[in-house]
Amino acid sequence: MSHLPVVILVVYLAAALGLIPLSKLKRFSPGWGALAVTSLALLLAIVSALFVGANGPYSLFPGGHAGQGIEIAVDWVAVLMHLTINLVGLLILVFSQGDLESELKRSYLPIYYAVYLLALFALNGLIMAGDLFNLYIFTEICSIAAIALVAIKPGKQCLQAGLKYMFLSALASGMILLGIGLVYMVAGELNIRALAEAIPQAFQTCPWNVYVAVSLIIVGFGIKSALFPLHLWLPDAHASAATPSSAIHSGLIIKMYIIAVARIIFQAFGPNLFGSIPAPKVILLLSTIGIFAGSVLALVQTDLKRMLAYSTVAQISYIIMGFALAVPAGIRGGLLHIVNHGLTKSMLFLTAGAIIYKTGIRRIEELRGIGFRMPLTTSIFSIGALSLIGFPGFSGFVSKYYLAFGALEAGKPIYVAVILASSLLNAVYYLPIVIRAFLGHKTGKFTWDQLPWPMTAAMTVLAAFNLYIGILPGGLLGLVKLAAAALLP
Amino acid sequence: MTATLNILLLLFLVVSAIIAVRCRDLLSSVIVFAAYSLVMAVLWQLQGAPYPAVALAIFGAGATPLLLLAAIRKTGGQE
Amino acid sequence: MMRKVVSLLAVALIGAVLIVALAKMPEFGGGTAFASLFLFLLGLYVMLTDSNLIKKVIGLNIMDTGIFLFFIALGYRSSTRGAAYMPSPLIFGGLAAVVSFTAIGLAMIVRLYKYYGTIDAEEIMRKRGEDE
Repeated sequence: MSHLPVVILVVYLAAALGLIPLSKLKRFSPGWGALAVTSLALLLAIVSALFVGANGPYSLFPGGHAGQGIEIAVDWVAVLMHLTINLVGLLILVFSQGDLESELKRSYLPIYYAVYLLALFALNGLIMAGDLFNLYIFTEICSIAAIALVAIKPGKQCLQAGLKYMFLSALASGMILLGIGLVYMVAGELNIRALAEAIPQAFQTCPWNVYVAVSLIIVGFGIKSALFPLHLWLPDAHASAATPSSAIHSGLIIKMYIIAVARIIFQAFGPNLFGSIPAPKVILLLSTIGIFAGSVLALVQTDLKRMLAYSTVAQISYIIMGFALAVPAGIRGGLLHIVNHGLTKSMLFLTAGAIIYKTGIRRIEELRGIGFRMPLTTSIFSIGALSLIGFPGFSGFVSKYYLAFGALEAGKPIYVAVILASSLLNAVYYLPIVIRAFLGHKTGKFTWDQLPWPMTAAMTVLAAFNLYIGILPGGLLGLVKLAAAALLP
Repeated sequence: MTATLNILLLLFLVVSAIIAVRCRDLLSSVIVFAAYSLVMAVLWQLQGAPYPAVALAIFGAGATPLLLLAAIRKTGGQE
Repeated sequence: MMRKVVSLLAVALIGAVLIVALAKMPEFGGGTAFASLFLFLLGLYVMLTDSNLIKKVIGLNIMDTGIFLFFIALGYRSSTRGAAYMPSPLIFGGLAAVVSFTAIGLAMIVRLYKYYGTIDAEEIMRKRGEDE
């Protein structure tokens, strides 16, 4: 039972490698094959979560030496993120059964699903990496799969966005590698647990090594997870990619890098060292600017997917802010927002994709009256919009409440004002879309959505999860509390 | 002896890197880059890292130039 | 032009910070480390400013080999003092990553060439401007 998380990785990798040869068979549909694999992984993740719930967190050491070398850490953070990744990944995959054939060439479908499974493999590995080597390798696999997911859609914009993403991502990888190497020079360890013991002493002898390493790792992961001034690749990539790619990017990939860097910072370097250097102040400042700049830029966009992409820049800044506050409540808020935003933003991208699939409309102005042509989709979009605004009773409210609570606990009440003011800004760009969609009635005709059933089902289930978390957050909160304690005891 | 060799190899690396990125003809650029990788592998071998040196000789001096050459062929080889 | 000046300033800034910070390290690897930093910065500069996309990829490769040389320089230095922390697994992982990035980047460049008939980033931007 304790090897279940590894089984998840093996299943994903085997499926990703086997999907392309298998798709040569006549009666094999790669989409449904990928769906079966992801469902199996979700099932395994649930069983693994129950196992951890019964027996407590544990670690696996494939290298054979407990406490050093390669480690697979199955703690509460990993459990929470496993559930999120596999659930959201599964629902996006369900949606793509209806949508993808309209966006990609038919011959690319098996490759797309294989790359998608590879991305899920890397994400599942990344969040339970207990040593820096594993973490680096999974980061790389994830980045490369992410680039491929953007660039696989035919079209000039996707290729240009993919190239920009590739160069920035490669730069970030170099920085992360240099940072990890510098840590290894002084500490002689790559295992996070062993590093936690070795770093205070190493910090005494060579503080500069540690400073440079921390800044390089933060900047590197900052590029990959689109921390504000480093977000340049994100709007192009998210706006031009195929809908399922945008959803998995915005919903999962960029957030898991934050988990990775939080593991390095809090578990290896320790919150004391992190607090003693100016890094948290800089990150807090940047994320504050990011929240406002992302919202303002989202406000001026005319393209629906591009607006959602800039909204992601703003929302990811909330998450980074929660972690940079470095207090338990802030980290709870950050983790909650990772889950909530993962569910919400992937849902919003899917609704945008459904609107594009049905009507071809991408411009926000033309969405007037869409609520009468696609009532279900528009209602689900409204749920997502209200959730991101932080309307009480929706999931976004719960995470923003905890973020504000974290700001108070850290003794920085200014950030409560930031959260309130930015919620107002969010309302300014989300609400007009919703209001126009339902009130800007032109033709007087009312029709049902008429989407393929997988698309409707995926969006409805995501909306149901959103409402459930908004109304009854108790279960998730309990899990998040345990996970936050694993990051910052 | 080793120190002199080190300095010579480093000089070669720096000069060939500059040539590889400033050269106007892409094909020569790739060839200089392959030489750069090979010398880099020799330097690593001298500095006591034999396994990374072999890996670099395979990837940096073998696979990457081949990929670059294929790409140049397909894009017409123009600057 | 503006872009080149800004990139040069940024690279110079990163270089200055790295050199100042690394010179304070007790295990600084001397000439080899300086050369590796130069290669890193050269690759970075080319990757940011060169308009030829394939040159950018070569710059990316030079940048990463610079990083690996830096590791080896520091490992070489400390191994003469008894403690050898040569991160060879990291170098293997890094090499594999660089080759993957190169391969996927070149594949994208070849496909972009089919749309625009050029591999020059500035020309592509101009043609894109004409399209819109």
